[in-house]
Amino acid sequence: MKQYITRRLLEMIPVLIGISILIFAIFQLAPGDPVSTMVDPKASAAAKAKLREQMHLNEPMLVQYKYWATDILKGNWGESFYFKQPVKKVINSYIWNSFYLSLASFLLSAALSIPIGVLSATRQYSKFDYIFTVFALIGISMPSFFFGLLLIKWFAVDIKLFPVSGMTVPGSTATGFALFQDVMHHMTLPLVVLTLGSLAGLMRYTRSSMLEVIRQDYIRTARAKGLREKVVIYKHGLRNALIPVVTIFGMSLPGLFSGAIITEQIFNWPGIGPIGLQAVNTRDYTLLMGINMLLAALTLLGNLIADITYALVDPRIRFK
Amino acid sequence: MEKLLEIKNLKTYFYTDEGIVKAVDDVSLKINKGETMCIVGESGCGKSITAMSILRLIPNPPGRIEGGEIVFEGRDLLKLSEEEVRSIRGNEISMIFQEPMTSLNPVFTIGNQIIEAIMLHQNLSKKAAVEKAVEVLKLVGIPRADEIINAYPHELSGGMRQRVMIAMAMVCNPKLLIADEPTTALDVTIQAQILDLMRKLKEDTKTSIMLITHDLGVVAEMADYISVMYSGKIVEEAKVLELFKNPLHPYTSGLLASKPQIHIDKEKLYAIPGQVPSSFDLPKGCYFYPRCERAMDICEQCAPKLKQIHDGHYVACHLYGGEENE
Repeated sequence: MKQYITRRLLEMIPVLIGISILIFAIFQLAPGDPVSTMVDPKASAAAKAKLREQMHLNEPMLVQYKYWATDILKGNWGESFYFKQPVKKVINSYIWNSFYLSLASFLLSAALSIPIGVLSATRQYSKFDYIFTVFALIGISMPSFFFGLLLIKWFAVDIKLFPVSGMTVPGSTATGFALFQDVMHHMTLPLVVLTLGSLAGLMRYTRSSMLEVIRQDYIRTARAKGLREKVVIYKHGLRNALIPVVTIFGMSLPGLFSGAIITEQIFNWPGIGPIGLQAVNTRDYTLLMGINMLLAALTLLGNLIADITYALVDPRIRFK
Repeated sequence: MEKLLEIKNLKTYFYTDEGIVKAVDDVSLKINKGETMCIVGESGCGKSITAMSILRLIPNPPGRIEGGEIVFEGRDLLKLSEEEVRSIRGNEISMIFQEPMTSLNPVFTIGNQIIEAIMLHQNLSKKAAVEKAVEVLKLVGIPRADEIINAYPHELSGGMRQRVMIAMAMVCNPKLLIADEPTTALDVTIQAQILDLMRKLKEDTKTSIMLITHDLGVVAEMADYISVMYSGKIVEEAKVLELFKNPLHPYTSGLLASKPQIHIDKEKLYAIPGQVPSSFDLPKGCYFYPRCERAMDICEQCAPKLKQIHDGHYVACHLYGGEENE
């Protein structure tokens, strides 16, 4: 197992190099150049040329890549043109806000979707099943921007139960539990929007996986042993039904850090999603490349975690 | 001989979109203590459903037991509460299935699955249960039982898995072992080993066996008593020697004639002409009538009842007189 993880981690190196080349090449193709976004438009052509020279922008692409890649490896991710701060600092101050929101949504949808999916499967075609089938259809069809605005209208504007946007009360200096409470209060509506979106799919996935499993011979064997129906379903059934569901959860791991662009935007949640979008609009090359590299690495890590989890739940998968 | 289990007029129906399937239609049979009773018949004749009905394992919906009694040691299993039936399943009556490859749960170890059954029905500590599991694995001829106990099903061959299934079924010393085509999915040498094992266990533990099969070779080797089923009904019942020597029902003779015989040089195997009738469109009279070589007019009109022809030999066919069996 240790050997497998080490091997997988080593394998990530060439993949990441490949990704970095791709990202670098794509940004080379993008129109405009960093200098024009960095300096005052009124600056003289000579000053611009000097800056270009300083930043090695006149050199061939491969040489430029070498400079960039070496700096990235040294931990120098450059400075965001827009924020006038180091890229690492900008990412660090936003990515965790996204992570808290996404993690809460991830845990909530897992905690709800699995039991609902199992019950829907064991009571196939019952009222319970139909209600949640309709619910899932609504969840899948409802665009998050619309649902978000609807919630803001109902719960924030009309009955004023939750704040309209943000992560804390502006100017708040609360710490500890008071801060936690404030954040939770702000998080509720975006959390509902995000969870509804992922819950519906996961629930249906658990349901169909469970339906498949409860028709298997070993479920009959478990019943023939005299086990109680609960043990049959939740021990013998669920363990098997979760195997494909784990894949889906694994695929959503990198998403924990990438931020939900639309939902975060609507609720003005200070996450990495809107920051990334903004960086595109302001041609903030260094920040964009930093975010992309980080997410690429996290995606690979997420896949690795999913594969390891996979082996933990399914003994038929063993690492050589 | 003392009766262990008696099924009286069992009716198990399936309610499908196309109509009602009478999978088991008024079947009566009995199993004596220490005896091996075989149910023989083509695929889809209701053998397995009869067996599943005994343990009340019929999936509902679409299936339902519509009538009859299943008396096990004086208790009607059909009248017991779900909890009472559970205490019988795997304990007093246990079952092994046709498909050893898929009948064990792939994510739990062999030991875990056997110990689960022991802990459920016997008052043993975990440690004693582990010892007992190793012991029963040794009993069914699994080498290195103390290692295999930690193996997962996919690490074992089909024959080994069927041994594990038998171990799991025998671990609580059941009074009745229902074996639903236990050797069908195995290759011939393994088949013989598994049958030997079952016979040995039966002798050692005096467990009654209800063996479901379509393999007449298996029947000849194992059975004391045979019931032949066709389209959800019993058509003939007799002791094994009697039935092989003197089959009465044309269906039974057909089955026996279609068995390949190694010492007779034949170009082609005999086959009963025609098809098993569709469950939705059964003939009005005898269900075997359309395929019967000795059919008479009465067979088309009226279904024959099971009658005793001579001592212990029952048949449901208009060819024979004999006294009516209630």
